[in-house]
Amino acid sequence: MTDRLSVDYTSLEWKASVLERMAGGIAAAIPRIAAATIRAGLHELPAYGIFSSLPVAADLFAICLPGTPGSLPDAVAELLSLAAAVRAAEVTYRAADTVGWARSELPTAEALVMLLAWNRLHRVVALTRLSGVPLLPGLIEAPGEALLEQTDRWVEGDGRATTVDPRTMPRLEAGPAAGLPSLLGVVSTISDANHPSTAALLRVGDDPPRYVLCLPGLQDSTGSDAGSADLPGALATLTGHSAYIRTMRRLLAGLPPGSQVLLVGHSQGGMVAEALAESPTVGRTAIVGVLTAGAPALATPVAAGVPYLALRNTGDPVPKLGVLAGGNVADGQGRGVVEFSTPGRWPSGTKHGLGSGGYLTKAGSRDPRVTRFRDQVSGFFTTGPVDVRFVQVTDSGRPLPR
Amino acid sequence: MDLPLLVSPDKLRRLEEELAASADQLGRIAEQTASLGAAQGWEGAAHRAFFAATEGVAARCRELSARLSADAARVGRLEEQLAAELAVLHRLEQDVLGALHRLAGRAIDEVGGEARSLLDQVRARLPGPGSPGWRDVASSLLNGGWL
Repeated sequence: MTDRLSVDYTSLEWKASVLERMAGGIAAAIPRIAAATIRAGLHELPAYGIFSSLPVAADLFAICLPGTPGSLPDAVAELLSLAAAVRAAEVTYRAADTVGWARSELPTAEALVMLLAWNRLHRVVALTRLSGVPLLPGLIEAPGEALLEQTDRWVEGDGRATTVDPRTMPRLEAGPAAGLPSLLGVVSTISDANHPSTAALLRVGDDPPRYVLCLPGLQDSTGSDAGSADLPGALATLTGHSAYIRTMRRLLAGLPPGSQVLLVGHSQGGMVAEALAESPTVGRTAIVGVLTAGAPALATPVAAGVPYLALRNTGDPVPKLGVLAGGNVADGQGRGVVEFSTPGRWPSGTKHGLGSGGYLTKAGSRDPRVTRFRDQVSGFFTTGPVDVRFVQVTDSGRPLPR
Repeated sequence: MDLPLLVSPDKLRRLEEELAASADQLGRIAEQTASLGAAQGWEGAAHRAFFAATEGVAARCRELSARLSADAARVGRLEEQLAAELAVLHRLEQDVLGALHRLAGRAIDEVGGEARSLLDQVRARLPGPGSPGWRDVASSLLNGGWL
């Protein structure tokens, strides 16, 4: 590839320093405003019959209060995160330039830098937890995660869901929601080269509305298209911040209030499922189960109380990538990791496939942990036909399929 | 009028000036952020993303600037209200003290030392200059109950 970068590094350096200077200017104004507000004694004015001073005082304190949306500290944080993102981009560009990568590989380089930054953040947060001061890790983690989210929006874009005409999709087998193997079968079927990054939302019941969201894994290892199930997207998903996650979160939040969802994902799709289930609800949609196959564990575990089953072939190299994300999923009662092996040379890429890796078979097995999970989510199984909506997830709105 | 009070129009004026200056600063930062976003220097997708991000930050800075401006105007109005209130209280203070002195003058001539002691006690119970307590004093005097 000869499509080389052309970046003005001096200009990026200047942009970052201007942003930092502006953030500094606002940061310096905050104590001045707070002190002037306290000195002015707005809270004393009601004694003089001037009650309208109280809302002014409340507004000024809200403006100065960190963590309040639309506050001055918020603006400082945004400017600083912009500056940090510009500097991170500069480092990435320099690295990509140095090794002679092409422009099309830039998102991968950016995602790698993001993963590196995430690992560092994760380590710092873990160390501050040891300090015993409960406030400290939060002070570091919250802005760090916000920065990563912002950075990923740059790398991948905000993410967009486009409904796909079902007539163009591969035909699903009869009874696609008959059980766990059938649902993994749906994931396998929609992992179609002609429809990259396409998820399937199955409506499997009513009262309350019940859905199964089937999430395919990485389909484009180059990152050169706009699909979110690509290499940069997978690297970003390891950090818990990606266009795939954002788009699916919006999709779940948009379901009818009170809906219940079972998440089923393979590989990168499994990571997306884990990230979505960090909290037991997304908007007014409850996540009531997570099934992953061949997926690395993220550092932030699935919310306690959400039934969780992670199938892993010990010869599948992909789940081992969890070390990059610092993932550590405890194998608890009724939830957790089920490891199994299949015959053949170890490890092997073919063991990552849903069929060739034995995942479909294991999902239908009588393993007690699989059985327990199956019982927990049995309300999502139906042998009849179901309504299916196919949604293609793209980073920034560029059309797919190619 | 030099008042040793927790509140004063001067302190409110300083807050108003501080808020107005901060609003101007935020306004300038908003414009600078927006122009920074439009400046060239890097690849297409990143440039567009940076432009969109700076637009967002600039919009929030503009909102904050408008909010601080509005608060500055509200503090300006509070300053006027407080000045008017203090003027009324000052006039009440003068009236009450004047009346008290006239009454005390007559009492001293008639009773001597006991009246002076009573006058001192009454003065000790009076609110400080500019205090909102002067309203209560005036009201009690009119109702005939305070002294």
